[in-house]
Amino acid sequence: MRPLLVNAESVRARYGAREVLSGVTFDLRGGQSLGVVGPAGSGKTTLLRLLAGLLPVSGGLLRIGGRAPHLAPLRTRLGYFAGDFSLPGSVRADAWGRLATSTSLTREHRPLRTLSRGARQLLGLRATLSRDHLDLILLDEAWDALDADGAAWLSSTLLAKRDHGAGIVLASERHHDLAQVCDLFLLLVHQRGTVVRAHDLNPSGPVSAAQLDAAVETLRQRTTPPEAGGAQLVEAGGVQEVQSGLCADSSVRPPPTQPG
Amino acid sequence: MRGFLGACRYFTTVAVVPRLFLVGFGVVVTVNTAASLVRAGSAADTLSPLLTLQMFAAASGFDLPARRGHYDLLLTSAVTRWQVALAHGVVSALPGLLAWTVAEVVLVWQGLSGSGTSGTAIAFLSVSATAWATAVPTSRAKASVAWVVLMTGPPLVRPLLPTAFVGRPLVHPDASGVALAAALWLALGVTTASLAVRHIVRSGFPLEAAQ
Repeated sequence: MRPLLVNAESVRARYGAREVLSGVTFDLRGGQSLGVVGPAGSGKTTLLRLLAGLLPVSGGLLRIGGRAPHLAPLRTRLGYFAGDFSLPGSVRADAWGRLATSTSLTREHRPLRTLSRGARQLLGLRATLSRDHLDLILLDEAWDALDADGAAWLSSTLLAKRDHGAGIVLASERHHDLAQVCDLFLLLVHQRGTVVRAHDLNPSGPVSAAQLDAAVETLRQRTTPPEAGGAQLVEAGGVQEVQSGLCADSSVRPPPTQPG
Repeated sequence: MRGFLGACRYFTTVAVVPRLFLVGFGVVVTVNTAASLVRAGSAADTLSPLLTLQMFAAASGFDLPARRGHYDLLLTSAVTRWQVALAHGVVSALPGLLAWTVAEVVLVWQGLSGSGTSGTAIAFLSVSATAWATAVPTSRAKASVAWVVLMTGPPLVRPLLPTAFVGRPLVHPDASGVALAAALWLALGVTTASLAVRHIVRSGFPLEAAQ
């Protein structure tokens, strides 16, 4: 069995007094890919930054490669990309490529802000994924702004990385692309996370975007926002969840899976 | 050491001190040094404008670009936060300190400086540290406003500002007041820089867009 990369137990995150995530629990091993799915503002980006060690957890336990997230990059090789907007616009494209990989990713000499959004996104992804022997890959809205060739390259690269043992966490609202790459899904609804296997959503084949949409919608309808009194039991369409109160853990661990 | 150098390279590439400041340092060093040599003016005439420019150049700011994701690549690599903080401070202060060194060497060579180097050194080091540190949790704009307020404050305060030590010897019987002010500024620089390093090591950096 591949090593445990991410161990999240009842993880909470808050911005000041505002709670953004509560009770997110899941494990991720090398060779597994987890898709984080949820409506805008559900905490997908926050979760990825927690995993990248860029934000402190406000409660619960989070370990990356057995260490606290902010210390994890010293031992676990991490690839994280938040999106094209996170690239510093004044840096020249070729210089950015050399910073990330010490090899030339592009001959483009223009500042990043003058490139098209798709070109910036692709360069950012290539800079992140070209680093050698990545153990954990964290990508936020990775397919955004990519053309068909770029999207196909990204999907095939992620599958190859996963097959080589990397753990992958992808947050996206493009469910069609997520469904092609992920074998686990974390559904974030009303600040809580529910883990579901692709196989549970569709035992007979690959998950479709419509099935993912339906699972999120089911959760959204059957749980109540935290301010309305807490999450309720959901048992539909392969989605497993436990009943919880406002402050309790509303997530479940995925059943044991074979390494990818 | 490798991590520290890598972090320095990163901050140089993302230009924490914009090129306009580098050009400014070049112009100020060239013009004022030449003017001092021609007119045989004092070292303070040449070095004070450099110190003023350093107040704004070293105040590069950390939180704002970090919250925009500009430092994600570095902060998620195998470089400790300590190394990141020190590298950011060094790269922010280095252009001004280099410009001062060049100007000082020329002035000493021409016999226009020398005895006043101790005051100038304290002024540059304390201003560099304080300017960098105050901008770390805020931004260049906010730190710059604070400097402008200080510089344009009541005349009573001006002898206590670092610009007052430039070109003045601190080890001198008549310089006890200046030496005390310099010691206070040095203590302020060390304290604020330590707090800034601690801030970078311990803080989280949420994306602006995700809050």
